[in-house]
Amino acid sequence: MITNGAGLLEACAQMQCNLGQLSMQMEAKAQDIGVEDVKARLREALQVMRSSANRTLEKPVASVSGLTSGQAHQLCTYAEGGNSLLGQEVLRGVAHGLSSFEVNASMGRIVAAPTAGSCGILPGVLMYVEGRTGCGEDALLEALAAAGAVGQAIAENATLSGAAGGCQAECGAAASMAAAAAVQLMGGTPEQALNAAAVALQNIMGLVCDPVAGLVEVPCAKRNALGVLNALVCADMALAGIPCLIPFDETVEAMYRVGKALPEELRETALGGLAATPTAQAITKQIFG
Amino acid sequence: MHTSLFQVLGPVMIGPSSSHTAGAIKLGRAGYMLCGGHVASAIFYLHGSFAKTGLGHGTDKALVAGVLGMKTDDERMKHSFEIARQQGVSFSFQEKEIPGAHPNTVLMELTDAQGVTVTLQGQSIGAGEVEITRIDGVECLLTGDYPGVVISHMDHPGVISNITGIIARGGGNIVSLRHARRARGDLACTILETDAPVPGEDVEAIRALPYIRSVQSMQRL
Repeated sequence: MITNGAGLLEACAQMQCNLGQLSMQMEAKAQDIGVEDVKARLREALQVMRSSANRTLEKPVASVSGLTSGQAHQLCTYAEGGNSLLGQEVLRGVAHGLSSFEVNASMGRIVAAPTAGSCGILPGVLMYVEGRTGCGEDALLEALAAAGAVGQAIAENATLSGAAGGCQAECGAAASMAAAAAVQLMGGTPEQALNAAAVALQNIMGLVCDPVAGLVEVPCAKRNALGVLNALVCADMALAGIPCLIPFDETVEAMYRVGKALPEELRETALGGLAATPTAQAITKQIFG
Repeated sequence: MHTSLFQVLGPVMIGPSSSHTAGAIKLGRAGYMLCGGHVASAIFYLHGSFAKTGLGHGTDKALVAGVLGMKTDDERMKHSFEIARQQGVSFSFQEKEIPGAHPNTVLMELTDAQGVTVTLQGQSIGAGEVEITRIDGVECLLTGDYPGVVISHMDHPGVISNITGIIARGGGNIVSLRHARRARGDLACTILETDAPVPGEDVEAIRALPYIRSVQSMQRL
């Protein structure tokens, strides 16, 4: 049974396939269903992602607390003005991520990928690469499966819970998954995909989970925005052939150790980090009385 | 991988938090099934992060939605308190420090339609995944990834063999079998996860066995 990145690479080499194809076959075998059934479920996930990634671009929805409403729309409008630093194309990808995130904060329907607090990163990256490359649905489904395989390896060897491992386990894992998906969509090798996945985790290693007022909104929305860029820059670096010194599996282990070393205050309890600032305390009082 | 692809790319769920909303609704739903599909009243004891940040994540609404039988993608979740009141289901919340428990832990004291009380302790371990770790004070492990049966019985030789015999004769395939008891001859809990849901007649046959106290059929959470 495959349980880590090294195992995934070995199997890809043996079967002469990419990460996503391997992932779909593994899932079909594990669930005793056909690859087409796996694809159908991936298609369903992609549809929910696409719908959430578009929903608030044109028309903002109110989040439950009101703390993060309308940011996707604002960023999109600004980008369309043509005078931004990153350019309209990249910012639209980021806005897609923010849109999915805002749907989540408004108690709407999303795909936890891997978690709800990090649900914007993968849709943002997939929508961006789709726009940039014009790749078809099949390629997107395979990319989603590749992302899933990376997430599975992190779940097996570390954690995907902010309460157990901090933000690095959620937004870090999501960016790691999305980086692998982006590499695969660009025709990179499985090795490059896992290199990108490793670096995305390394980039935010140790990031704490410190939600203001305990809500999955601030700073989570902007960390999702950053996650989209983290994934894309790691994918491009891997595709450029820039080596990754610390391998994926060792990175995941390190992330887990760091996560466990974080004090409880910095693991989704809203007792430390930004959540403990005077401004956050005032907001908490305002919302919960 | 032990973790399924769709545990990572999923669940499709109502926000805002996979651990505090989707996980909570699943834990509540486990209680709903353990009460045979009808919970009359519920007391939720919240521990750790569930207690500290649960309110802002809708953990409370999700737990109530769960004991009403709703699934993670049910958009009625937002209104679960009103729905519970309409159905005459009472509920309350308390903070409780449970030593050694996972940060996202809830202890539920549920009363079913017949007035029988079931207590279960569960934890939301991330990405919408959950574990029921204790039923009526007996240690157990139930993830809800498969259907199956939860059997409360007295510790006595041959009970497990009788149960698995019924499953085998019905053509069912057992994925996992977990068993624990409070003490020799005392209350025990046996949990079978199966590939397909256990048919109603098999559930009835298990219920009719000696030393059985209760049998609940479980669906995937």
